[in-house]
Amino acid sequence: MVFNSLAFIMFFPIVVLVYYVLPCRIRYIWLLMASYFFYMQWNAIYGLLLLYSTATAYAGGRMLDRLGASKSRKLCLGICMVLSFAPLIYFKYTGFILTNINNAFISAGYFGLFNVPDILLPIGISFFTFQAAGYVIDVYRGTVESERNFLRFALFVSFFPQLVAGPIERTKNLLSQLDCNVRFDFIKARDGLWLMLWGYVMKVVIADRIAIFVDFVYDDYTSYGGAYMIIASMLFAMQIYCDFAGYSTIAIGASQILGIRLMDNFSSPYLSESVTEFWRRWHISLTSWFKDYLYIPLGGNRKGKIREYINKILVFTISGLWHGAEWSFAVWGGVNGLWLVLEDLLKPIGNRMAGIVRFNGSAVSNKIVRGIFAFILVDFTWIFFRAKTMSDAVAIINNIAHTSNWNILFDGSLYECGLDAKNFHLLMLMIAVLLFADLLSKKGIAIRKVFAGQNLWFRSLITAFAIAFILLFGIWGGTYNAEAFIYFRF
Amino acid sequence: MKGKKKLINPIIEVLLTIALLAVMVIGLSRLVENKSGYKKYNEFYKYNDEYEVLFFGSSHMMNAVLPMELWKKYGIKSYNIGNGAETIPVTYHVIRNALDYSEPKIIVMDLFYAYSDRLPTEISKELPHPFFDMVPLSKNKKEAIYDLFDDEQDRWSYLFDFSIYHSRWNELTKEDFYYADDGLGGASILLTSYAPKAADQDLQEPHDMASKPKAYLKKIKELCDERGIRLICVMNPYALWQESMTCNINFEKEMSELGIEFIDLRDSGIVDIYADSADNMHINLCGERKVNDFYGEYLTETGLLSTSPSVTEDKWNERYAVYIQRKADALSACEDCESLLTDLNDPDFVFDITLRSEAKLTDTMKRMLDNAEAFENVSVITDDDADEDITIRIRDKDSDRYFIERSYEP
Repeated sequence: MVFNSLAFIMFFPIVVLVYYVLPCRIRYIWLLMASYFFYMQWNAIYGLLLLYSTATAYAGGRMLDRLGASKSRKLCLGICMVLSFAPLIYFKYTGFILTNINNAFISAGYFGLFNVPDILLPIGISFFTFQAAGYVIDVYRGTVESERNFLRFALFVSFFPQLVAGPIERTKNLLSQLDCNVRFDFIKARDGLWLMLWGYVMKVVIADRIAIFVDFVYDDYTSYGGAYMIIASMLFAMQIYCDFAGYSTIAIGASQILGIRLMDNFSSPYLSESVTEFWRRWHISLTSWFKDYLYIPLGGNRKGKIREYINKILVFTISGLWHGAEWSFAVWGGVNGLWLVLEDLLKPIGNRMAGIVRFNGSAVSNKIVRGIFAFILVDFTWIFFRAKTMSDAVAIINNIAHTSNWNILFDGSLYECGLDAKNFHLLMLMIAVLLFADLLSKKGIAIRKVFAGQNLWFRSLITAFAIAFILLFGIWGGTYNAEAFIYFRF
Repeated sequence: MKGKKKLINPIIEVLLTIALLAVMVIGLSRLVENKSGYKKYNEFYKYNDEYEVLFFGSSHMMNAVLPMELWKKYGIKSYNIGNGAETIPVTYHVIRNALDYSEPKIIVMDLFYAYSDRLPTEISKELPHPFFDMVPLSKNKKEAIYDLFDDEQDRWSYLFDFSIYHSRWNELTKEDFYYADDGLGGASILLTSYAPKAADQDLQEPHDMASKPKAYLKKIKELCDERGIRLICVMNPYALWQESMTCNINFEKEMSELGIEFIDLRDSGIVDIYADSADNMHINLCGERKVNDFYGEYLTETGLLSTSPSVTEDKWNERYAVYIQRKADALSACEDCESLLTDLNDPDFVFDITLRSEAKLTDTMKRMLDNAEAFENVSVITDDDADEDITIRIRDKDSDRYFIERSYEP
């Protein structure tokens, strides 16, 4: 069940209604049932996988607590991690590993050893595996106590708004809220609904509209090189943002209606002035997960600059492989790590030069230039992310470099790539609105708060208008097949 | 007091939001909806209690009967509900839903798709939309949609058509804001010509109807019997009927088994397929008018219809004036003489044709002009001094002013 499906639109109000009617002490059981129902709509068997992940982490947490300060805690943690990550590795990386072993043998003049099985990746497995593993590590570190109530813990792992695409929640933040001891708060619920509506705008009005153009160009990149590919790559940067941030926003809004606050996952990432800042604002829950559970244990920045740089590149490469079992994802992550290293290396030189020429680094013009430069660097890496394989990515970059066709910006050719002129113009307008909203958000102005301060009739009008706008301009219905959110694949 | 306000305000806000949303969605639905359904069927709903005869079926029916001319010439109040690529299961549900709004004495339906066991969705998922978009949600509509479509998405698109039409926002034209009935009584008029070659296929042995159409035909018969409606099934004429899959069905046998009255006009000689064909599967306006005359006489002879003038005569006269205008508009849009000749037997227009004796005309045009000798509204003058091989002038029968003048130079 995806958020932009009729099934979810019918499912969610029922969940909310029953949730607030039930006594507080059994609400979490209702949410747990709803979460498993939500997840098992894709494939009922996957419910067992979710249960396995939950049981492993629960047992691991309880065991770690019982072991106290014993030396076998580390062994227990290790076993827990192996058991927790085993399904993820099997479902996601078996094909990748076997293919690479085969390729190594073939290139050495032998034949491929393995038949590579076609294993279907269960939806959201990367997300709930990481969330459960994070809990076990937290218990090991003693930052949280293990949860005794299995059902409440099962809800922590399976809480439906964030189950299949995050945010990857932390134990401290989410588990403590699952007592569900809240009264219905109309103002918070309305705010949650507005968040959901904004998420739907991002997903079905912007991301799915961009997808038509991007798919058209990327699927035939030999015919659509040069400016076509540059524009498609720039739009893909917006698509993946709107797709993923849209999902997160719907999840946060839905959760808020239930009285549960999830962490922010995106914070105006394309208004960053450096790649380093971008990664502080993009997929915050995953980036901070890797920071806390991998980068810092590897030594972080405490073991000298060279080790710090190696750690950064390594963590980003692993993060790339988390997104997909393909070398192109590893390169995407690795190059982003490299940008961070280069920024760190070049920063002192830049500062010294700015001092010499008395350059005002805080001027708006300078911020804009830095922002554009950061966007170009990030967008370059998205090519590796979007291309189906590494060789496709190389061919696409080659195609961009060797094709000159800027005339397509003026002769209407852009409107023949799946989106007609009106749809393309609407898209540009919506991207401008999105960036404006991000700018306000960066400056600490929440449009929702402004609306909330208006009169009742205005608030009603805005809510009704937003829903009607999504219904009219969203890509949905008819032959439209509620496209899975991009991040479900990961 | 404060607590009460705390409770009432949210309730008002929710109710107001729902009301505003309903107004917006209904308004937007009407705006973006495909208007072909309104154009074709709006007059059916407007005057639904007056129709005594309803025509159903595929494009073979839609392009065969002109209800406005049936009324003008024979006083028969009818409506043509036929629609493109409509299979017999679809026709059953169209009849069932139409009978929720009308009480005809006679139903005439076309059997072109009697050969096909395919689901309506395999032929076209979209074509039943114009009719069902106009039918308000009801038990019969819901049953029709669930019977005809297996896919949830398709069903949803019929129950809530905004789900497919919302993406029309970028195609809106003036007509979406000010749409008008097409004034043709549900019929379609084809102003094209086609020169068929003689069928060279050997006819196979007659075979039975496909099982699905037969089952639904039985249901149609039962439905008509329940309502006391006389059901007449027909095969209308078209050029390449001997090459179509319907040709080998033994309709006489099948219909007599089902106890249904049947008329086969395909090989009846009513139309001249070399002059009256719009394409290989349909007749043009001239052919439609000939078939129309057949139905006019046949239906009158049933004695079931009240052909004397009624209190709504003025309204029908107004509708007929609109019909004439639509025909004139369609003729004006024709760019070639051959298309204009497809309307030669039109009782509302006078055709003055000037022809050079050595004019180089197509075989179809020659045939049309030969046939025109029988039409009172056509005058053909031979003038070898004329600038063009053929010049066609058309005027309203009550006016001296030509509204169309076209010439043909091969």
